[in-house]
Amino acid sequence: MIQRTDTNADDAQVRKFRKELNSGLSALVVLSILAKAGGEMYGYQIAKELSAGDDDTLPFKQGALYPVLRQLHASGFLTSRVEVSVSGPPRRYYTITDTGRDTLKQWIAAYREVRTFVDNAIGQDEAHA
Amino acid sequence: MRNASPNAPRTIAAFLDQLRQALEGAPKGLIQDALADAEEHLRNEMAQNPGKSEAEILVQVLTTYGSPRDVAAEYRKLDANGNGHSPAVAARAPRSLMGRIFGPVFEGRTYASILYMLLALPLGTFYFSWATTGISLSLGLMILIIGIPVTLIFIFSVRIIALVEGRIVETLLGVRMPRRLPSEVPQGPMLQRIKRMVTDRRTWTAMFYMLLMLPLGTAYFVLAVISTAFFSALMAGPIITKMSEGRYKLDFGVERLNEFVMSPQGMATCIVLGLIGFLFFFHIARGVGRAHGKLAESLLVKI
Repeated sequence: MIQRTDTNADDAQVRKFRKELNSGLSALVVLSILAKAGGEMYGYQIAKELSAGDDDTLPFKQGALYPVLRQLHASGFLTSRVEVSVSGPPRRYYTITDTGRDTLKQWIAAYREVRTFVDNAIGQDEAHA
Repeated sequence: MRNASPNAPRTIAAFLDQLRQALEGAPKGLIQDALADAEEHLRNEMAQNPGKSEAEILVQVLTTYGSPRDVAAEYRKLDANGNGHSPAVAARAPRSLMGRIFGPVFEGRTYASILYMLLALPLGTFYFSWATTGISLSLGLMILIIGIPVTLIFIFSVRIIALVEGRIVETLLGVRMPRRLPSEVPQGPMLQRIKRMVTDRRTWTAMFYMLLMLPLGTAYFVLAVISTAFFSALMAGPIITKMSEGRYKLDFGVERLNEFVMSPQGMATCIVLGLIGFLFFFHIARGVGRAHGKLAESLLVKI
């Protein structure tokens, strides 16, 4: 995952660029997580899974995760159900659909294509900058 | 950083309030989705960190989950993309003139709206009868002790019906009718739940909606039935007359019109007029669907 490095002031541009990069990738990542999970997961669980316990490694805010889930759900890639319990917090569980899995395969292929292309363009070692 | 601002939320309720403000003007369904998601996340965060206070959690949340403004921006982006909503809402993209004129013919939403217009009469009749019976029974029995449970059961039934009608409207008219927020799920002692139910404005607007559905439903039904029957008859009338070899006779009351209609040009004219009529009716049905969706949203949904 991309490391957060926005400590100095001139990274407004970096933030903007990162945001643009993430807009498509977040959906890919979320769908992959759900495909790997095999079962249902709820938003908070996915957020923790993505950051692997360290919230700072997530290149986007966890708040951006939920709209992505809604979007994937509306597109028919996920199904969802809400579990409300009196004692614990409410949870909306998401499960990947067959359409979701098919789409994910295509997305991964598209992503690999773009990644190869970009890697070639910027140079593999990326040290010459 | 933004989380250093003086009015940074210190409680979940404050966070949700700020999020609601930041989303002002967005579709109600979107706002409710955003609030439900945020509440879910924050309460899970609380549950995961039992040792921390609510204020501590919120400080942390502003950097991990994002500030209400950040979060609102994400949902607005979703709305602008036309995603995250039911397909009907997503389909409403700018279209060509031809697309705008003939689009409704090819869209399932049109036929769903017509189905709703037909269903509105039986539904409206039921809602109206239920509401008037419930209101009179409640008022009439108010002087007796039994009036209290009767009234409460009636009010509870209104809320259930509002929920079901919301689902119907969402399915057929494509207007997002949000589910209730997790925080609205009845909690606490019975008396408090009853009090919340009675003081909720939505209970009363839903009752009003039930009464309103009789005249509206009648109008929708009549409009749908008459349009379908009239334009079908216009298209098929001359042809059937011809095929029946005089057993049925079209009579407009004007001899020259009767003759014209039976001529080939006349038949073609009738068919074209009928098709134009149907197209017109389809647009009306979509308009009714949209308008009724808005009405249902404003009376059945609370933000």
